[in-house]
Amino acid sequence: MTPLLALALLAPVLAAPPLPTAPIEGPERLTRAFTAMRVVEGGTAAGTVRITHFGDSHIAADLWTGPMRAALQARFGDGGRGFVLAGQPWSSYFQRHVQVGADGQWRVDGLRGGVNDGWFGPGGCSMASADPAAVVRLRVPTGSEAGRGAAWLDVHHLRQPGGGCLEVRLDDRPVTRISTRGPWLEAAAARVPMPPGGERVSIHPLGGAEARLLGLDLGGGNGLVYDALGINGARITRLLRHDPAGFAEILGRLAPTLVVLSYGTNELFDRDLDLTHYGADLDRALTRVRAAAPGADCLITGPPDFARKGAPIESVTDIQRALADAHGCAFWDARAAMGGPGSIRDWRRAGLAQRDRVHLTRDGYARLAELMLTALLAAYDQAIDTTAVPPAPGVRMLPR
Amino acid sequence: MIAAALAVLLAAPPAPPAGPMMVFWSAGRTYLVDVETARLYVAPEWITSTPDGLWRYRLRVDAHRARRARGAAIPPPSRWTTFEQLAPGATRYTPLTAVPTPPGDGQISDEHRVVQLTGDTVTLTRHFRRRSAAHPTPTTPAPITTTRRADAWTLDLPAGERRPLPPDTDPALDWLRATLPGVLDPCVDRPAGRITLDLPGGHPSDWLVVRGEADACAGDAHALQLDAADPARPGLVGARWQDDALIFDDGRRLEDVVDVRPGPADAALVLRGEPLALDAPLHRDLMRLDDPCQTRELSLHRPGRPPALLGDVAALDGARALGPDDPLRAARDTWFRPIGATPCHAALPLDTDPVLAAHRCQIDEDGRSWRGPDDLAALVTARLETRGGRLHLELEVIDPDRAPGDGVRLYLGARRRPQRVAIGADGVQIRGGSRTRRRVRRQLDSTHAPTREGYRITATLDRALLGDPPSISVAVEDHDPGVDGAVWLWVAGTPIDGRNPRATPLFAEEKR
Repeated sequence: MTPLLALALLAPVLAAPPLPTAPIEGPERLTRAFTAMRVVEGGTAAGTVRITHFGDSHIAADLWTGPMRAALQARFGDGGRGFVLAGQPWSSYFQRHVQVGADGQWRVDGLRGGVNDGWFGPGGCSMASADPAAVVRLRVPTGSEAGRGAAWLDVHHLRQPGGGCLEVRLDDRPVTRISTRGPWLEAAAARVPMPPGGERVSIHPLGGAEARLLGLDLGGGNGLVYDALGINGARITRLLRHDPAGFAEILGRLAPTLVVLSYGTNELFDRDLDLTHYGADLDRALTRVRAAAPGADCLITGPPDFARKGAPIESVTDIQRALADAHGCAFWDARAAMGGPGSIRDWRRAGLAQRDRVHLTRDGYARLAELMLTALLAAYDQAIDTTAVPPAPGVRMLPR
Repeated sequence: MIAAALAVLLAAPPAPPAGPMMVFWSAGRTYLVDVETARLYVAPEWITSTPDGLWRYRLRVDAHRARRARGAAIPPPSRWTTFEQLAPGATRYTPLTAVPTPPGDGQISDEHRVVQLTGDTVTLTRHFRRRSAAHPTPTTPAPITTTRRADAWTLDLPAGERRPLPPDTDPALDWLRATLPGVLDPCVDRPAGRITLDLPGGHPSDWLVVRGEADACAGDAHALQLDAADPARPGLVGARWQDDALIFDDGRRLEDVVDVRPGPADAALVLRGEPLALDAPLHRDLMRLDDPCQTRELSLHRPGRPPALLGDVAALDGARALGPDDPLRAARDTWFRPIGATPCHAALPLDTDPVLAAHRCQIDEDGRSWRGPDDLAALVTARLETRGGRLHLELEVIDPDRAPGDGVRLYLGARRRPQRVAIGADGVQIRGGSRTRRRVRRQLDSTHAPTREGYRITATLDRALLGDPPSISVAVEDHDPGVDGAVWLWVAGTPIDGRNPRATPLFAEEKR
């Protein structure tokens, strides 16, 4: 074989993207999600694939999930921005591909203070007001690279006996009023069609009686929706603090195709962390999520590497991996993807981690997203190659 | 100047408005109508009056979660709402409905709702649900069971006494079932209470509440009208109310009229819009007695003057004229705001005469309640130097019951976390490290001096402290001796909290 011929044969290999440093473990557990993604790939087939990503501060700022959303929507179509918290429950709550805000008097439930009655919506906190001067605002910027494909807005709210009224306005035009009154406490949603474009949505309590917003969901477009549901400081037990029926109602309504859970970092800061109890809580949380979204596949991501002496990060990762296996979930080891134990120091030196050596910088989270995407899409490509899932009629195969 | 203004304020409180006025309640709010000026005032809560003073009412939401045993599952939360009353001069609300004991096991929701408050009465519904705890064993799934119950009753106010069930309701129900089978759901069979509702035109009307106990309709309740509807409808000078129209003496008609309430000086309130749901002999769904999304057009009709549009309200519950000595008159300018008034939380008023800050909408309450401007108020003067750029701030605080923790709180700067400074009897407290504290001390001069009615605070701040754009929020924090809780009077700016930690720009056009 001549050297030239050898080079020609090797060319496809050399041009291929690098192998993921940490693959998805148990990729066969994502078959339903991959099948649904295959159907919408290219963005021309009808249907929405929803990835709902729960987690802690790594997820809260949408710096990890935002690049995931943009990349996945570029390939699988833009189904809309997805679920966001109503307004701005805390002052640093910012999300990619959407602008949120609130004015007037709002009570925030689910964080410190407020009413801790478990009716928080999947985002982990809700906003309540009886102030007619209060408003919650939402807008997908016209130039946004992702999240612009929504066909509707679902206004998730708590229905309650003393519930008040919400008025929804598009570009300051009232389009509908939503009564949040009902005999029994329950999670409900009212759907408002969204015209294409960068309309400004505002939601106004009419006042007098309290209306409680559990979240806002821009979805229904053809393609993929990626929800980022993170709370700073969250542990896995946060998922167990919801009203069980309410959590099931609202997650059932979201109908995710894939649920991703990214917890563990905050537990590792507990000096007296009991690993048995941690495992029991994770087991309960997975049971609850699986019951609330029985049609969804699930993926657990292990905690990213961070610097804290003596933190049993391997043990927590092992528990997560074992319980993922027990609950039929796939697993992705974020720490291994970063380079393994101690890699946070390298990431810090490269400007990819913050000074606390726990959180990543914007570039760091973008890098983590790239690593996870590489692993996820490698598993996807492998799955559709081996299962020969046909594309939807009329869908052109895109280069991978 | 401040001292003079304060002296005027304290020596001669402004006389309450003496002209004809009306009050009514609607959708959780209290409204006053100044008949002479045709202005509508609103307070964002239920306020009633007796010669003793003002009574406030609210629905309070509470939640409880049983303590988690080590290693056990996190128990589900329980939740309940309580209808509460605040008597004149009191600092704490007292419940007028039962406060449940949360279960150690399982979960309850016990929700009260105000259907109608008329000043003399309040009609409430209650929806109670209990879910048992699931205790599965290896051989039994132990499903969660749910019990429900719905109820309604009327309380006389301010006594809080429930109106008694009329006698002989069981035979009456038997008679009704025999005479008009199918009117009531078969399983809704137990007389549970009596409610009195204020119907359009101001007619009080009694209903019997009948509820189901059997599983099939537990949680259902009907209300059956006990008295015949009063056919007489109040008119107004120069017009009569017939069906859903006002027919004027000159032949003009005003359609879609759903309620008319005569008032003082031959005036009348006229409500137009979608019909009210109360006008039916049987209500099968207590949730439909009112609709939170329904608003109607309210106008004031006075003899010899054109009708005046007052605004949009849902209903005219308990509408009546205010007597000459009614305490609600004096509360008009501190507890109520005119419809369409400027927002409550404005920027610091600069270069004006002293501004009185003593308004319900500027008050945050935590654990204790504001009793009015005699309890806490402030006269504020602020001046910004054109050269040098310093801000001079002067607050004359009216706070007769002084206690540790009283003082003025300044939130300074345009950053997401403003610089916090507290000025009180015990000196100046500056939030931050030692370098920050030294820097702020160099940029701030302040004094604190007790006065007969409270205390006076002056502060001069370098412009650099205010940031870019210059931003400041100011609150007066007030504690009472022996009372656990505090009241904040927001003299300038939007209340600072976790959701809104920023101070308010000094100039409206620089709002971020």
